[in-house]
Amino acid sequence: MLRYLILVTENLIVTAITVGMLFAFINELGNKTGKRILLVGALSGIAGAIAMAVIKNTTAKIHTGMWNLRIFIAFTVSVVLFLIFTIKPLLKKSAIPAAVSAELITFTSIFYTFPDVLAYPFSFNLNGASVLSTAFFSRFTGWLGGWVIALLTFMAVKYLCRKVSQDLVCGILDLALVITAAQRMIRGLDTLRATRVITDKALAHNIFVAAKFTTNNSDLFIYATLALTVIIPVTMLIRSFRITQPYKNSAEKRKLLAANQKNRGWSIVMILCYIMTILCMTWFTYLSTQTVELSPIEDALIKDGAVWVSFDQVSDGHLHRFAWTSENGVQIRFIVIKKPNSSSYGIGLDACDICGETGYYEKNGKIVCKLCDVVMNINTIGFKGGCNPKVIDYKIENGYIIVPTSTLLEHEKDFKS
Amino acid sequence: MKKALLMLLTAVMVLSMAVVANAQDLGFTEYPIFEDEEVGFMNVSAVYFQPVPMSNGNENVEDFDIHLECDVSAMENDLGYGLGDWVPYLTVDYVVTSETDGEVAAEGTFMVMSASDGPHYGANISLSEADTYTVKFIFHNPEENGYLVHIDAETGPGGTFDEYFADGNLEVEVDGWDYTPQEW
Repeated sequence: MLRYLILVTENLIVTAITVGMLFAFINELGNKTGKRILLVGALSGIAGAIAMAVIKNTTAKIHTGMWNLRIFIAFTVSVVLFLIFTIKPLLKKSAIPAAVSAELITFTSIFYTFPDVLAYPFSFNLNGASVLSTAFFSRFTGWLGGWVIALLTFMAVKYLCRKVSQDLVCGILDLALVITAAQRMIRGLDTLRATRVITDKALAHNIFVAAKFTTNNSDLFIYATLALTVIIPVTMLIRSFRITQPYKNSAEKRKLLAANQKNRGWSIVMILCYIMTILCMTWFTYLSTQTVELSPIEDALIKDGAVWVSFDQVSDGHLHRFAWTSENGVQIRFIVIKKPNSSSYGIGLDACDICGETGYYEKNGKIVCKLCDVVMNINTIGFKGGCNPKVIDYKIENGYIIVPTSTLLEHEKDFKS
Repeated sequence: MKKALLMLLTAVMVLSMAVVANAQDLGFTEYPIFEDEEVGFMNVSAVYFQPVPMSNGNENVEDFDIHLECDVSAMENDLGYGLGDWVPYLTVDYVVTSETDGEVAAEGTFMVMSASDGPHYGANISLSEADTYTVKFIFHNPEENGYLVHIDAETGPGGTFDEYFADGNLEVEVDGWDYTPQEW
């Protein structure tokens, strides 16, 4: 789940912020046609991105690097035009050209960022599980969470940027766009270097040095955008605690209080979205890259064609892992856990139909599938279904759980290594 | 206005679909690492491209950044390979080392597979850091995998693998691979 929450948030957040600011800025120019032009840009970007996602994932007609280069060039040209048309003396006369350049920025931003993110659910690694599985649901929830963060950020930025000085918005927007354009152009040139379209050694080396920095520090660009724009919700939040505008009567005061409350609400939403983004890039990334080590395989008696596990060894209510190695050298693992408030044991293969041989681990008294993070109901271990361990035959005799090696051998194919 | 907007958006989608659908199939674009390194009787090249799903349980590409490919073809030889033939039955190990800190960034043994441009040795690997790397391929004697050579004068090609592998495995090591993760 976390993996897709992080991926979607990191991919969309800068676009959400810049497009939100463009909407607010063009809206405040007060030109109706300008607003419509920008809306067309955004919707065309979404339509184009859907088409691109379909084509990219169903045909071999797209060389992503080269397509992106074209998009980056168009984006950079639009940014330059936007910077020119929004120079203060020009702005009054150039509301429509400014809106058109904002439209192009919006279109190219969405057309570049959305296709991969839209296609993620079609490439979830489900190990053959269906879209109705918990593995899919878990990933889809993360994916959806990223979209929610991006959408809320866009809405909050769009609302709040209309409430502050447009000079401030324009200044921050220009800076954010220049940073993004520089990063994207370096990435585009790097595609030409990596495919050896650029052959000049010195030039190729300079591009590589720049691309190495931007790639290995890609988070830095997101942080820079967040740092630049966080001024807006913080300013609005502080302002929202007092009424600065004059009012004539209590009705006007109530109106101003209500407006402050709304501003405070959107400021908090924006700050929370930023906190979530930072969490995604730090703590959640740390958590999602942690590899869980399975507990070691415990010794058990192997005699008379079976693995013998004594009750004493497994009666503590914790997860215990055992294994038997076949003649082909394949280690076939199974788990045993004493069920809570019961004298019975949950016994099953250390693998399931959905996630294969990845195995289970114990965390805070719960049994978790290592691949899909699904928490097992301990009482259902030993029963078929879902992400439960595969059921195996065994018998109980004289204080021992006895698992025939012939049973384990039937599952040799479930364990590749 | 709404109708016009809807028509415009549909036009954008249909147009972009049509433009791309009419474009030629590009196949896949290989990003070169090195070409034509000669070792023993083999000519070796290396490329990378997007991680690819493979048959027999190797469909997952989620955890990988690139597909690293090693192309091995025969040079003039007395082992019975035609000039330019792909050399089968090799075990090829790979080691990718960062030239910045000397740490091994990726290592393992290639699998053998076929793509639309023929058979090769390759693997999906995780390489998320942009850096300058040294790439080393280690070639084992094909006899380890049961590939034999006729040694009689009448039917044999004239040579044996011992001529090449008498001192152990063969290696190709190329430094200065300026790598940045690409968007696939």
